[in-house]
Formats: sequence, structure tokens, C-alpha cells
Amino acid sequence: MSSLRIEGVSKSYGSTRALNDVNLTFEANKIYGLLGRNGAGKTTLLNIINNRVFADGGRVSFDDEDVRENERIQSKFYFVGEKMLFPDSMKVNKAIKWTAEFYSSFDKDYAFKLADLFELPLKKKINSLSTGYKSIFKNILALSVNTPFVFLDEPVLGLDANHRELFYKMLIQKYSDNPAAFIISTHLIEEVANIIEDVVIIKKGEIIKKESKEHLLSQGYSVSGVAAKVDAYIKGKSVIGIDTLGGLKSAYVMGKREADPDPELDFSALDLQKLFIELTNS
Amino acid sequence: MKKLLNYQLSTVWPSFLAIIACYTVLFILGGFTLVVSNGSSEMQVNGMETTAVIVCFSVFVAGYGENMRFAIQSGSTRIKIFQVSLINLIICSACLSVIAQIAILINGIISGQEGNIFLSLTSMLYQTDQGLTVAICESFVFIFAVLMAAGMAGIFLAAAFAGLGKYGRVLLAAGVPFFGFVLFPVIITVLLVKAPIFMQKVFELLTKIMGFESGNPYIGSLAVMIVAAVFGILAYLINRKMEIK
Repeated sequence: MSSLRIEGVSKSYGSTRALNDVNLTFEANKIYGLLGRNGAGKTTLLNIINNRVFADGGRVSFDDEDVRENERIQSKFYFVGEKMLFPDSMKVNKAIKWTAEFYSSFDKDYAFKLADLFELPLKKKINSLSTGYKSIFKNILALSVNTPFVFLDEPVLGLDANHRELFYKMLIQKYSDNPAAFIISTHLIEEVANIIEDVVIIKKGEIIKKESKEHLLSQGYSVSGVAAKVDAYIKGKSVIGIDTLGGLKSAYVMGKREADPDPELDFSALDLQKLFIELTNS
Repeated sequence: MKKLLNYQLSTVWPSFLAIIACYTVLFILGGFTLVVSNGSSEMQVNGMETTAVIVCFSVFVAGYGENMRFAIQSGSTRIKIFQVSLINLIICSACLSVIAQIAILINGIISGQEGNIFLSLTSMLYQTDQGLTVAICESFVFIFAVLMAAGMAGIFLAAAFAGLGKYGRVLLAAGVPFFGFVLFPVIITVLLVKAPIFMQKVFELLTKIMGFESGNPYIGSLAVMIVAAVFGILAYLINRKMEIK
């Protein structure tokens, strides 16, 4: 099965090291969450994969073929970044038409169906769309393009709750109907937590975690209850975070759960966002 | 390549239609040529050639960066984008040259010039007195070369602008007009006063290179094409390392 390999990739902007010896593999037909704090290097990594910027060192290959300036490979990728690369004066329907020209797998009917569903004004110029509708426009292209690898950078930026929910629903539907690798870079971890299969956490230009979500979350658990009981329980354990509300406390603990815990304590699975915060805190 | 060329052509043909529409309106109004005349037919200059050069430069300087971004979004490579832009420029230059020749002919017929009805920029610069077919060929080749150079200069400036950082862009945006309209004329004026012999040599050299001395517009066309090639090479070198962020 096709895979995208990133080997020893580094990139600097002046004195800032955006990526430092990144090694990573994205496999086909999986939904990835590319998570990292602001300036962690997520967008730089996506830009390098998609031939927009060049790495200072290392190699990005798809099926052992370098992706740099490689049109055959780039036609298998589709990237919608935060920055619009469409001409300012281009209308939405023209952009859909031209994208369909360039990508033979693009489903124009599906794109127009989605535009109707999201109430995207087709005759408006792209630059006159609101931030939310710009995101919708880009997401519609990404969902309709049917390439083996789709990269979404902050896909729900500016979207209201209704549109976010609709987007996630359409993404899952698309994934089940026509599986592809979706690499989603986002800060809204709680929202994508139920969608993603694998998690890639990037911190200061380095990959610190690349695991399946289940495996990552199985490495810990959360415990909540009366503060004193929780305090007693977590003594000596590896605690990655604590939330306190009045006399109640929730603690996020790494490691295996005890076989016979206090019946007055509630246990649940670890929260991806909490884990992310702990892992990426300076 | 065909898709990218179709896209690029679709972005320039409105400019062509605009020129033809403007020219037609001027024609209908009876003032369709920009004629500077002292009464002798030799001094008549048709505005379409100059217009075509300005349009060609503007279209490429304004459109290249936008085309580049859209093509990268659509999975194309920088080399292919440059190749397609070059083909696009050749097509545009050829079309605009044809439009200019037609405009010159209409101008000559309508203005009722005696004898020579084809008074182009080439016939004025090179003082050629050939038959109509030869005059059209010379004019076509010369204007085509000038359009290629103008378009390439546009691509070079657009690529340089896209490839530069914030301060570089400011420097380029302010520096090019400053150099062209202030510094360069000042340097020429100073040199004419301070070093007249040197300037005379420079003008003599330019006269030779441009074929004015021999009255051969093909030499001038070749010189202009070399300028276009230099701009093209510089644009290509910037283009291949351009990052789209």
C-alpha cells in the first residue's frame, strides 16, 4: 500500500528552526490528526510535502519517489492550507470548474451538492467570502477531489458549530465511501478526537508522538471524585494534569489502572486534549 | 501542460478583448489612432504598437504570481509553470503583433497616406522603404521581439517580487520606477555633459547593436530577443527556488 515517508527533514527560516530532523510515515486510507502548538511546524511540514516550500535537508518520498517538483506524485495529493492560493478575483464556481480540470478524479457534482448543503454562494468571488465560508469552500474542494492523500490545515477555522458538525459528518461519510488518507492539522483537538485514527504530535519542529489514538490514550486514564480521595489515590503516580472544581477534582494519570480501585472514584479514558497539553507544555 | 496553458490563456484573453474593444471604439469615434504628426507622413506613429507592449508587460507582471500560486495549488511544478508561461507569452506576443499589424494597415488606409500605407514603428526607426509584404514581415518580427522582451521583463519582475522578502519587495517596488524615471535619465544627462565622447561611443554601439546603422530591423529584433532571453534566464533561476507560502 502507498505510503508517504518523511526522512530527516529539516527547515529553518532565518534563525528559527521550523523543523528539525523529522522522520514520519503517513499510510494510505487513514485519518491522521497532526497536532501541535502555534509555531510547532505543522504548516511547514505540510508545505514541504506539497511542494510549496523546500526542505533544507532530508527527503520526502511517496512510494520511494521524491515528491519535490514531481507532478505525477503531486497529483495524488491535495492540500488546502490556511492561505488561499486561488486568484482573488476568481468566483467559487470557476474555482470548482478549474480544480475539476486539473484533477481528473474530482467529483464536480458532489462539490456542487456540498456547496448547496453548506449554502456556499457559488457566484461570489472567493476573496469576498467570509472566513468561515472560505474554509467551507476549501473543505468542499478537499472532500470532492478524491486524491489518495488529502491535507487539511485548520479546516474548521471560522466555522460555526453547525457547519463544523456538518463538515465532520461529511468527512466521515466521504472516508467510508471513498477511503483516502486525510491529514488534519488543527487546534480543536476535542472535536477531531473522535474522528482521527492516528495522532502525530509535533513540538518545536520535532515529532514527539506518532501512535494510534487508542494506543496513545490507553497509556493513561482519568480519575475524578472528592478532592481528598483523588489526592490520596494519585499519590506516587505519574499525574499529567489536574482540574479542580469546588470540592471535586479530576486527575489525569499515566500508567495502568489499579485492579481494585476506590469505589467512590470515577474512572474514564484519558482525554486527548489533556494529554496533548501535557506533552506540549514547555 | 494543455490544462495549465488553457488556464493561463483564459486569464489573458480578456485583456486582448479589451484592447480590440477600445481600438474599435476609438475607430468608430474617428480618433482611433494616436497620431503625432508634423504634417509629413514619415512622422506618423500608430499607438497600437506601444499599447500592445504596455499590455503585454502589464499582463505578465500582474498575472504571473497569481498563475504560479494557482498552478501550485493544482499540483503543477515550477518548471512546468515556467514552460507554460513561456508558451503563453509566445502566443500572446504573436497575437498582439498580428493585431498591431492590422491596426497599422487600417490606420494607413483610413488616414489616406500617400504612397506608403504601412507606417509602423519599425519603418520609422529603420527608415526602410520596402514593399508592403516585407514591411509587414519586418514590423511583425520586431514587434514580436519587443513584446517577448516586455513580457519576459514582466515575468522577471513578478518572480523577483514573489521571491523577495518584505524589504526586498519594497525596494523593488520603489527602486524600479526610481531607477527608470529618475536615476537613469539623471545618469544619462550627467554623462552627456561630463563625458560626451564616452556617450557618443555608447550611442554608436547601441545604434550598431539595434541595427539602426545598417537599417536592418532583424538585427534589432535579435538584440531585443537576447534581452528577452536574459530576462527569461533570470526569471527561471528565481522561479525554480520560489517558495509559495
